[in-house]
Amino acid sequence: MSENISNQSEYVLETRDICKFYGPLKANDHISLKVKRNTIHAIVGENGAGKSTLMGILTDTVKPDYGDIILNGEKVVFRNPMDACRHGIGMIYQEFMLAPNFSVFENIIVGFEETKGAFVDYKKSREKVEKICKDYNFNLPLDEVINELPVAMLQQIEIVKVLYRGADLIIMDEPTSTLTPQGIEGLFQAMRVLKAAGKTILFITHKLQEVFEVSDEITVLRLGKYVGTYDPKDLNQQKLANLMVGREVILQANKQPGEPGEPVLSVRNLSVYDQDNIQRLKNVSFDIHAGEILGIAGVAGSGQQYLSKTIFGLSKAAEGSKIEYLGKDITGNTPRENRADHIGYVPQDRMVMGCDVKTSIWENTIMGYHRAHGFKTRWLVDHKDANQFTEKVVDDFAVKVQSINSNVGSLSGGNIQKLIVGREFSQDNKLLLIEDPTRGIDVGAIEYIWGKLLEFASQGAAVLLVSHELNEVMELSDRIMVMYNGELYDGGKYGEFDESQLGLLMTGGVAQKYETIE
Amino acid sequence: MELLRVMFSTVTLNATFRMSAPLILGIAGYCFCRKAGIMNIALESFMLIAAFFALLGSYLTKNYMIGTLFGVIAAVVLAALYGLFTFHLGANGLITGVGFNLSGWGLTTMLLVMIFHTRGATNVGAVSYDTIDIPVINSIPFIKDIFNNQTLLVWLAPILTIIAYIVMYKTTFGIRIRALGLNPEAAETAGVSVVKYRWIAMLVSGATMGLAGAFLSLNSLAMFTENMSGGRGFMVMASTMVADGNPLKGMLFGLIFGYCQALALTWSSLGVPTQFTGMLPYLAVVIILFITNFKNLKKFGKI
Repeated sequence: MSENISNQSEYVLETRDICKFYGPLKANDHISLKVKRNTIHAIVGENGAGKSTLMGILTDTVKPDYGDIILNGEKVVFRNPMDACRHGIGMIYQEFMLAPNFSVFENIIVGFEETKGAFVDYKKSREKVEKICKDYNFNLPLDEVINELPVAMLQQIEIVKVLYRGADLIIMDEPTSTLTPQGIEGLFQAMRVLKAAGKTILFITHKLQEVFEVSDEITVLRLGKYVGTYDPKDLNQQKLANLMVGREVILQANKQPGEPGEPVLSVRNLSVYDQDNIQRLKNVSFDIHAGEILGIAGVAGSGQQYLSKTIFGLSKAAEGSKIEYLGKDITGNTPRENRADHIGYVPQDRMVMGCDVKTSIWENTIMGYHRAHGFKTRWLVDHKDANQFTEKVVDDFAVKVQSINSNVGSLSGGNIQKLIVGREFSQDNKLLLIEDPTRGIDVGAIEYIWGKLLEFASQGAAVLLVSHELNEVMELSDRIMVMYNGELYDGGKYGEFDESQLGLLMTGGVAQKYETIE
Repeated sequence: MELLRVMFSTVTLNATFRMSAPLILGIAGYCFCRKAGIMNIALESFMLIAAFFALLGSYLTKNYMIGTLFGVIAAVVLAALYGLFTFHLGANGLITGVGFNLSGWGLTTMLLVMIFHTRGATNVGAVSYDTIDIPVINSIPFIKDIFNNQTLLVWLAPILTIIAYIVMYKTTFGIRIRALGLNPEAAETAGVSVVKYRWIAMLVSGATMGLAGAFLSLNSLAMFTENMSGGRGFMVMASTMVADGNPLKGMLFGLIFGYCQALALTWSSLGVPTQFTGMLPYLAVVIILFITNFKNLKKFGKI
């Protein structure tokens, strides 16, 4: 009996020599790891380390070239993704797998409905969902349509969904990337409840801090290879970062607070209404000075993006708003005029707004500046000039490309971001509007872009940094403002407030509204 | 005044019930495509070709039921071809659809000339649907003038709509097909085979378009004329889009278009120029699309 239990309970999952090659790329190169039952097991690694491929193999969305999966001590071969699900592996994807316009309840049951013949047995399904919510302490509005629900709630729906499907081993892919500090705390709480109920969690992340907060064990992957499994007590963030990257990494941005110069951008009483006539910005006023990085923190959807978009001319400022740039009124100017005025913009959505993935690297590098700054003879594009410029950006920003004629879509996310940032930084811009410059890219590239951003500001440009990554705002900004519900609140100077104070502001905790001193 | 009076006369309402039937039949099936996220502009050709083959079947066998079966099979084959092109061979749906519609017109006209040696086949010896006399309805004044003595196909339209509604909202098939249209990836992770469900939706819509086509050629006079679907396939598409795939709402829009067609008939019998009355149903499409999308106009120019 005891023999049986120890056999059963020590490792819930084991992979042996898992390999997956894409041509010459070794996405997974003989990965063997063991996951103890009833633990929270973190899997960390840079982008391209093979985490996603490995998880794809575990859920059978990717077929391994070689290797075995051992589940509860038995070798299993999955025939299709449903097979993995039936074996009790539940996956929570980074992009939530939820259908808009569907109610929470429908989203949970779809595909696994309790049935009466061909009909859905709504009553029985409902009871099952309600029982799970009660057992695991989730409080979900089952009949509401998911569209308006906050991200943290959506994630809980995903968790209930995999539990409903009978998952025993729950894989979470970068679950914290869209959450607020408070939301992350809530998620960790839920993870602990799941663990207490006997579930095992595989937690994929590249945020080091979180790893130490919840995990019982940490597995590091690097370049498709298994580096090792560690006890969090034996590591610290710095050591873990070094293991992930394989060399010494600087985790702090090493910011040198400088003296701000003349105001470059003055925004007064800026209000913006969206297409549904909801006010997204409410009388926002602030200045940015030369050589200064102004960081805007806030929960996603608080109105930050309307700020940078409106300044750049992508959305319309309401009556009475005033945006002044170097003493000139630019309210209502088009993006083209703004580019010509040396205002740069790095949009959050790099794949859609930042570049065109289906065109070449050189085209993307001059994109937006093809009129404002030359690159053309009178009628035609000057290829020589454009190529020279592209080569320069690619060199200066260490973008790994095979040829500047290949499509941008062939680059990795980090390299695309380096290219876009490089494009905006290399144009002698006096003002840079930048949104989430390091979203979803790995430690090495973050380090690089942070360094470039600080260097850029120190040369006298003004930077408006809008980021959902609180840590990023805190590391880089000379001055921090927190946006909540379309209004700006003072978040102090560099290093003045700590994370929990700013987190409180982000969720509407008491604070003084930010007023510009006239 | 007379024009206003006939707007609510039993003649017009009777014709509405009848003329909306092909639209409603098509809508009942196309709702599944809509919910599954398939846009199919080839419906027009499905209807036209089905109408031709229904007539041909009825002509060959002297049986309108078998004629209808011919039409349904023709449309299902077309749906299968369209599905093959767009789901598996990576063809662009818009271009494929245009190709289908133009070839549908050409093919039916060519076959018409080859087989019947005419560009408008009436009285070729095909059998059309019988009207059904329902005694219960016949005893109610006013109602009897609208609903009695209609054919099986006309009655099938609301019946199919109700069945489609129940399937859409009460069965596992319905909930899955709605889910996969909203987020195919999510449906795939929920074990719902997107391709399989899309195929089912595609073939179901083919079958109901087949019924709609059979209606055109076999409902009253057994006849076929060049391009006789006359844009009804597009009306099916428009109604379904406006109703967002809800079969009951779709039926409502089908009735509105049917009403316009009926009104066009009664008005032109009162001497209103046919050039004007012929416009009515199409005008209704434009107006309904405009009204239902009016809210988007306000969003124009903002992010």
